[in-house]
Amino acid sequence: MRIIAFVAVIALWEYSAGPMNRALFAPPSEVLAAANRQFITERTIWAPIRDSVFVLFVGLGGGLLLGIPLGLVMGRSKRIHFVLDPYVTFLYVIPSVAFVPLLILWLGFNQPFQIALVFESALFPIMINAAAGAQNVEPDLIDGGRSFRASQWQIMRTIVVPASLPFIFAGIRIAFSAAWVGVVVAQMTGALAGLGGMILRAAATFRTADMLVPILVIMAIGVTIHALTTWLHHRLTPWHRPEGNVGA
Amino acid sequence: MSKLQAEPAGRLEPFSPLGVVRRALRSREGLMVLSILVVLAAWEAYGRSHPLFTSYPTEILAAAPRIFLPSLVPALGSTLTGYSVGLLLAIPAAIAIGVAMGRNRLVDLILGPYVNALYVTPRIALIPLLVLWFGLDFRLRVAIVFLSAVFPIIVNTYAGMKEVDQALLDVGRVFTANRSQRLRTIVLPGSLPYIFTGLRLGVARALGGVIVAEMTASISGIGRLLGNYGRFFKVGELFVTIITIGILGLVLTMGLAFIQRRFAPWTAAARAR
Repeated sequence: MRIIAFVAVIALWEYSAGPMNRALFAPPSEVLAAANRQFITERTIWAPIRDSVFVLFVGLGGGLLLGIPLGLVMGRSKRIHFVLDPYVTFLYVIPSVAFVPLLILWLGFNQPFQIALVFESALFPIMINAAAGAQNVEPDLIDGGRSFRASQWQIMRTIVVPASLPFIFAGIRIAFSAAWVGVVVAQMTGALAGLGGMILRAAATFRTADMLVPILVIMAIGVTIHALTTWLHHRLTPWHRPEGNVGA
Repeated sequence: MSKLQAEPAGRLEPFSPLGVVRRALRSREGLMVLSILVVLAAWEAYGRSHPLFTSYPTEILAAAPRIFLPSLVPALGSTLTGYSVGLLLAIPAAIAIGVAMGRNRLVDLILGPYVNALYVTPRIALIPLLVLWFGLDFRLRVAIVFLSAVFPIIVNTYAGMKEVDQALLDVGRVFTANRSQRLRTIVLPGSLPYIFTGLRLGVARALGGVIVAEMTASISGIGRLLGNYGRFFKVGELFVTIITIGILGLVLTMGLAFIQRRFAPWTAAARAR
C-alpha cells in the first residue's frame, strides 16, 4: 500500500512538473540526475554534508555538556532555580533565529557563529528537560539516600541522574532536532556554507533540481536523527515510553 | 517563610543593605529580583565600555520608544497578519488530517511517511522554494507559517487519537453511540491534551519560521527589522526587537495555556510544565 502510494506520488510529481517552468519546479527524474551528479560524478555534496554534520555535533555536544549538569542542578536546588529561571524561560520562548544578527555581530559569519547558534538551539530544551527530570525524582528515594548519609554529590550521581534519565533522553531527542534546524538556519543566514548554503546558492541561480537534492539530504538526515534517538530512547530507558514532545 | 528563622542577635540590621540582601537570598521573589538586578548592572557596566557590540540596558530602554511607532509597530503588523492567517489555515487542516489519520488506517498508511518525514525536516530548508512559488510577501508568510505549524499539530493530534482510553470507547459502544458521536464526545476531548501540545509546538515553530523567512528573503516585517539592525550595528534597537519577539512568544504561550485552562480544564494538570 505504501509502495503504491509512493509510486503514485512520484508519478504525479513527474507528470505535473512536466509543463511547468523549470525554474519553479523540477520533476523527480531531473532531481535524480542532479543527485547523481552531486553524489557520484562531481562529488560536490560531500564536503557540505561533512560541514553541516560537524557543526551539528560540536554545537550539540557543547549544549549537552553544559545543559545537562546545569539542568540537573536547577532541578535540585530551589535557589539556583530561582536565580536562573527568569533567563531560561525568557530565552526559551524566543525563537533561536532571533539571535542570528546578534551572534553574527559577535562572532562573524563563519563557523564560530554557526556552532554558537546550534549550541543555543540545543541548550534550552535539554536544560529544561533535565531540570524537569531532577524535579520529578521520587522524594522517597532521596530521603532513603539521605538516611544512609549519602552526600549531595552521591545523591546526585546514584539517585538523581539515573532517575532523570528518561527526561534527559527526551531532552536529547528534542535538542538533536532543534540543533539540526539550527545548523540549517545558521548556514542559510550567515556565510553560505554547508547544505543550507547549497540550497540558497542553487535557488539564487534558479537551478531547482540542484536545490532539491540538498533539501532531500537535510530531510533524510532529520529522519535518521529522529529514528536513531527514538530507538536509543526506547532501548536505554525501556520503562519510559516517549510520548508527545515536552516543548520542542 | 524562612524570614522567621532565628538569626544570631546583633546581625539583625533591618535597614543595612547587607541585611536586605541577606533576606532577599531566602525568598523566591527576592532571589529572582536580585538575580535580574545583578545581571542588568553587570551588563550596564560591561556594555558602557563596549557599546558597539553589546549595548546596555539604559540605551536599550532609550531605543525602545524611538523605534516603537515608526518601525516596530508596522513590522509587527505585517508579520502578525501573515502569521495569524497561516495559523488559521493550518490549525483546522492539521486537526482534520490528524483525526483522519487516527481514524482511518488507509489514510494513515498513505500519509504517515510523508507527515513524519516533513515533521522532522527543518522547514527553513524549504524557504527558497517557497520564495520561488509564492513571491516575497504576504503569501510567503502564510505558506511558511502553515508549513511550520501543520506537522506538529497533525503528529500530536494523531498521537492523541491513539491514546484514547479504550474503556471509554467501549462504554460509548455499549450505549450505542455511533461513530460521529463517539468522535465528538469521547475521542476529541480525550485527545485534547495532545492537540494542545501540538498547538504549542506549532505556534512556536511558526513564529521561528516566519522570522527566518523574513530575514533570508529580506521582505518587510520583524525578521527584516532584526536583519537590518544587525547589519548597521544598531545593537540597542536590535535588543529591543529581540525582547519584543520574546514578549510575543511569552504572550502566545501564556495565551494558549489560558485557553487550555479555560476551555479544557481537564487537560491542564497533566501538561503543566
